[in-house]
Amino acid sequence: MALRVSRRKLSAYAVGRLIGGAKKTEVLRELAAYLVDTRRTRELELLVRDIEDALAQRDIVVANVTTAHPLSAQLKAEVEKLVGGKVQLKTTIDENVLGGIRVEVPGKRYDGTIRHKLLQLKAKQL
Amino acid sequence: MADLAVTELSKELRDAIAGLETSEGLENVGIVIRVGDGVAWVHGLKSAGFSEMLEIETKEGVVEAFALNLMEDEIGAVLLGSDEFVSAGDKVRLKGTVLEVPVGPELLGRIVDPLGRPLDGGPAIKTKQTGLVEREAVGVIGRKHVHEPLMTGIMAIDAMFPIGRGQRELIIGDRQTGKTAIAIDTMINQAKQKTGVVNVYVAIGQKLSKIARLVERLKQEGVMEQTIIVATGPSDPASMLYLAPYAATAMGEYFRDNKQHALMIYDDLTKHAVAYRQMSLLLRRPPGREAFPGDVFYLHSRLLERSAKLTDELGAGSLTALPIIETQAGDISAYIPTNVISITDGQIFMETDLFYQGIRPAISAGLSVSRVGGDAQTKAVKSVGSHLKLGLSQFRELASFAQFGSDLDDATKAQIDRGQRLTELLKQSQYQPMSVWEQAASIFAVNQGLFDKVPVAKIKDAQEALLTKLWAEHKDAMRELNKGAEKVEKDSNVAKLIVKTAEKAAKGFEA
Repeated sequence: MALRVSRRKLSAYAVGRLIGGAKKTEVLRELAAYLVDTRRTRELELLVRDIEDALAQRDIVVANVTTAHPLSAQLKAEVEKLVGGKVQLKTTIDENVLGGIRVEVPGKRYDGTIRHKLLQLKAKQL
Repeated sequence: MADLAVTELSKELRDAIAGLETSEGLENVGIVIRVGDGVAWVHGLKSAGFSEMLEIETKEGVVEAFALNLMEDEIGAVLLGSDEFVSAGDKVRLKGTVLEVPVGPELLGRIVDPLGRPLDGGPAIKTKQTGLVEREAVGVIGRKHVHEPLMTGIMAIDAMFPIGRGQRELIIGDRQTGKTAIAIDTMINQAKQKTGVVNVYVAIGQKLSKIARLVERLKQEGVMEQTIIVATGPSDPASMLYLAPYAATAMGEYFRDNKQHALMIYDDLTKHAVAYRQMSLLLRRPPGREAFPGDVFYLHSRLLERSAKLTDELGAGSLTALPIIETQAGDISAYIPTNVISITDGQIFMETDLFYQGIRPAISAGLSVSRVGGDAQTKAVKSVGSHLKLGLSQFRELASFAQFGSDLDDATKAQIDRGQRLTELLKQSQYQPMSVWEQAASIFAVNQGLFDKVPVAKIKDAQEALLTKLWAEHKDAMRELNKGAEKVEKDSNVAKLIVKTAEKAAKGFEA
């Protein structure tokens, strides 16, 4: 078997191909074949995260936004401006956060939810 | 390009930095990939540094960890708490600091864990300062040679293998040979002689019952007020056992750096190496000899190098270390014992045979050595103890040889007689450290042959009678002798006093 290729190199390769203009389905099929061939399908989720990291380096940012209520168009625009680059928002509605907003981009997080603030208060009191 | 001013770039860049919006609340996060056996593997956190603190957000609150393996795709981190609630997918925050513990006089008299949290049920510990757990040792310029004595109160050690402040003296021996007893006696002696030396006792994976007994005894002897105990038990995670000596050294260093003197007791480094081996193997580092990782030597050398005697410019403080190593069946050539022997400035070797012959403390005269303590020995003890080690070694050799025949010439017989009395004299019960004048007077009396007519079994009684009489009749002279500055020579006044009193004392015990 060939030498084990790190996920960092795999994702760099995939992103390089995508930005170079290769078809998404084609790149993904190559990755899928590689993962199955080397029995590394368990690393699928991690590879996706690595690809997101690598894309963020090229200014294509996937941002996970979690709020208690649906985002208004104006708020969406502001989040996009805050994150910068070519942002693609994934929004989640989760009543558990109570209020405020949480933005997660690859490797970084801004947590301004009420739930987070309450948890921090609780931790301070302990 | 005429209007491009580049003369003030530095200032402008500084202004630009000051003008940047701070990204408050923006955290570096990763996720736990897998966890088990106290080790978590983390995805992300590309900016993590070696030994940097991580916070894992679990359902049951935050669990701390520190990053030890930084690899291309993932980070291996050792948990400081239980891995029970940590699960794959948990978010991991980068704390941006390395591990620090509270340090300062507030810790005196307390029992804490390696993170400085109280274990004695007392109030929370609030100190003004914190100290880095992993800290670089003092350099060459900051050090002075070891020259002040650190009296253990144990005659055999102070006379034959003197320990100085800033020295690292290993206590090594099989289980149940009195290694910890020597350390405890040394701590007690610091309080009894009012040396002002702060004791830091580190229990690495010791039975909690043993620690409780130790604390009880230290309280009884009034030593606890100048003692810090850093305790880890056998059920604590290996990461805590690994951190304990480093954290405790940080606490001791506070006193060293503030013109005071501290004594570290690492009980014991064998268990520390085993805990580190466990961590290393779980982090998938390649095993070497006895399955220890390649850097097990560095593990102990960087710890013990922090013991030092500082120069006067740095306040002349000191940190003395008494690491303890447990051997298996007296094998001092195993991996960890040889490592630590080569790191330290000498060792005190405890022998099982001696222990069961009733010679306690069971210190082997032949295998023990103190490489730097000579300069630190008090003049009084040095003047009487200089030939002790050689004499005792020769006696042991002669004694084993003499077992085969009974026809001995008078010189040999005399040497054996003297040796037996010396051996008897150096026996000392636990928790009874002796001061300088007691040691000097006792050894001088036996060396001068004043107890030659006292039967071996009664040497201890004769010694006690001598010391009681000396203290009752010549208190001032003994106080002067206790300062240790003057030699005990044949024709000095002190020597004459001792001879006179010893002759009287011996009378009552002669057969």
